[in-house]
Amino acid sequence: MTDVTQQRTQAAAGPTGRSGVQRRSFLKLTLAAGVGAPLATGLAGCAAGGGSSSGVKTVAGQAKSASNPFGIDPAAKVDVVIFKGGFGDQYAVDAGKTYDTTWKGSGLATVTSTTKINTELQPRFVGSNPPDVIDNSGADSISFAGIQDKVETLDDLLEAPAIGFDGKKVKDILIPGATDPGTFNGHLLQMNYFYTVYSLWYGAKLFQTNGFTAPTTWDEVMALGAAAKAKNLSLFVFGGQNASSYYHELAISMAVRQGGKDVLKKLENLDPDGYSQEPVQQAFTALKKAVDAQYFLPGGSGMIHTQAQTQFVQGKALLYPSGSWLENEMIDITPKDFAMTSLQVPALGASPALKTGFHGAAGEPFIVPKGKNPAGGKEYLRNMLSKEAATNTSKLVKSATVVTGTVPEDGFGSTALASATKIQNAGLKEAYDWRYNTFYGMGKQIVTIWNTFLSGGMSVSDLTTQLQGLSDKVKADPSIKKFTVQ
Amino acid sequence: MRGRNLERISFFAVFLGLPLALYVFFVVSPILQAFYYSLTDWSGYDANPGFIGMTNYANLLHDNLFWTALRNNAVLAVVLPVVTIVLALALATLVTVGGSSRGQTRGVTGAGVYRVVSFFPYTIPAIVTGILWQQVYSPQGGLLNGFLSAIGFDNLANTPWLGDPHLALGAIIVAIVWSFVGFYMVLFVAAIKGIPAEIYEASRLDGAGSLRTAVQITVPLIRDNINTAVVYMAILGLDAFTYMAILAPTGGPNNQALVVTQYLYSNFTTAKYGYAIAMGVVLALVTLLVSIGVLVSSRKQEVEL
Repeated sequence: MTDVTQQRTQAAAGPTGRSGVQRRSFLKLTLAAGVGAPLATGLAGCAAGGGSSSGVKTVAGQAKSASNPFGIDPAAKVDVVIFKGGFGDQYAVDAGKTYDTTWKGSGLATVTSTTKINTELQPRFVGSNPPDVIDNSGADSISFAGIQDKVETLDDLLEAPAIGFDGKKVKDILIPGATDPGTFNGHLLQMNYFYTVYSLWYGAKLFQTNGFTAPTTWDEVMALGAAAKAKNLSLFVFGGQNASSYYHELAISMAVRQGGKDVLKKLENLDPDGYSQEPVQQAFTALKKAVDAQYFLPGGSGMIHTQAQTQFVQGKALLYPSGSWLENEMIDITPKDFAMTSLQVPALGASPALKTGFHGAAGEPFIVPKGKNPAGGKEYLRNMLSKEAATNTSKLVKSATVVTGTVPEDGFGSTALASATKIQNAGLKEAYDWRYNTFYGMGKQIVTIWNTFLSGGMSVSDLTTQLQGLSDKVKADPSIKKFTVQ
Repeated sequence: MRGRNLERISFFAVFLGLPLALYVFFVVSPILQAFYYSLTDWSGYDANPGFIGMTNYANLLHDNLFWTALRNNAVLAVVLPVVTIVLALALATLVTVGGSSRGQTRGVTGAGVYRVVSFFPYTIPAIVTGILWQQVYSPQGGLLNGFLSAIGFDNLANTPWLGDPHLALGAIIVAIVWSFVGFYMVLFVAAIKGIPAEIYEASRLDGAGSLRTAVQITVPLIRDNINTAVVYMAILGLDAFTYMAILAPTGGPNNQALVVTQYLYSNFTTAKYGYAIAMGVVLALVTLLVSIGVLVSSRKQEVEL
């Protein structure tokens, strides 16, 4: 369950977010990989194959038309590999059935699933025999930097007719900004399928029992902290071993809400003053006050995210910053009446620039490698984005997809999904997201720095200097390809 | 004559040639390949990586995190063998010759039970050991902190054993030692059983105490076993990936528990296979040197019985 979360946490936690307990499964399979790799590739004489890039036969398709936008061969099989994490794989199997219905066949899309995306598929990339669709997620996902030029652009998917939406195109039925994380140099290379709302979370039942109200400003947060302390509870909890970066996400999110999207521009463009901006400093100072007031559950620096979250769902700490996967991730040990609820990040000052804004991002990247049946791969994605399949997915996994209007008001009975959807619907025009930390692979260092800060071992100015140092180092390195935000 | 020659040739072919061919194909060639890839900018997904000479190695020289990781590995490679072997020897001595000083040389009462029980941790897979100790060290409700506060150290009740830069590596070493002590104890017990009892009886008659017997009789006589243990534990210290991946997933507080294998793996996840493999090659060389060093230094000290 943590696997998928970690991957989807990347925006907050960076690559390190994935490194937690998930390596367990990596280790379990090292043996298999060690045996499998030489068999798969060793026969070619060397692991990289020495340039045998030929040998892939692309399926001959039909002419493109409105009903067959990618010109697929309706009888051809589509090879789909799904990351089986917290979302399972049933939603993808069901999307395969939708494909069958659309093309009046059976078993056309063969959906297989694994947690070892990279381990299993790396040899297939080297051997130029990748599957037609990959859900590139989880702890063992493929580094996109390594395969960026080996995947199809999905620009034509956006222009294709959406299924179940009377004449609309796929691009018209997606949540605004849904394609941003998967767009590289103006081309859509990854179709991110799930939509995550990042926010603070609380247990509504616990608040009700104790007579607490959900805070909307940082002052209220601090007052809540004092009230909690009086009842021997903590305000926050953090998993410093691998997920202290969730508080980095919270800080940046509060800063952007306070100062507007311009705050992000400097951070994204690695400006030397990125972290010295007033709203960012305000956010850091606010968190420092909570640290100094000892509102954090003691011992966070020695916990991993699941241990910290266990304390949260057991009611030992009132608030926890995370993405909307949290409910799913902790569902097995969350008390039935916990009523996990999403709370917009608090305003730092009197009049935040973004009144309804929130940090929202599409995650769980699906890619269509240049392989045997790329047209079929795109057609599979089109079916997965159909009204029927997307609704079914949200119902199955209690998470929103990037397809608009497929989650009912009651969130299929989940308070978390319902409250996150409410924040999402209210603030879509002011939603924001960033990717410099993941794009430049700063996640691991961010975890280490924030772990020290949240343990009380660092001042705000040290935190600023160290985080800025990460950005400066990337900026000064000419070998790293940069992106810019206008 | 010819027939016998043929027999000899086929004998060599089957018993030497075939294993050699398999060995070359499955062991030697991947090693050579790995070395070659360390000289390239291979992302991990291309069929034709570009050759960049020693660039990866030059970059390693300036990579602070790599040196931090190598230093931590060095600490593990020294501390793990010393602590594990001293403890294992002490236990082995207790259950074999550490018993009553009257009558026949024997272990302490209940030695059989101790021998079996102390072997238990070794039967647990490394992953499970890691998860187990992660819970033991948990700052909230962990076994260790619970124990400490129960015996009166209330101020230690929330100690983040794995989250404190000064404690993390030590805490992890304890977990690793715990899991291996029993195994090496059994190894040493077997070796000690091979020493003629007369030697112990003679030393006892000469008035040697148990410590002196252990240091001056047992250790020199089972030196081969100890050397083997040193090599294995040192190699484990140079790897330690499994334990670190669980107990210090991002390298621990301030990278105080980051090890080379872990840093290497994180480079796989960012499509820097060439760079990661260069680290692997360096680590392999270090491992080789350490093993040779231990074995060569031990050769001079062999005792003839």
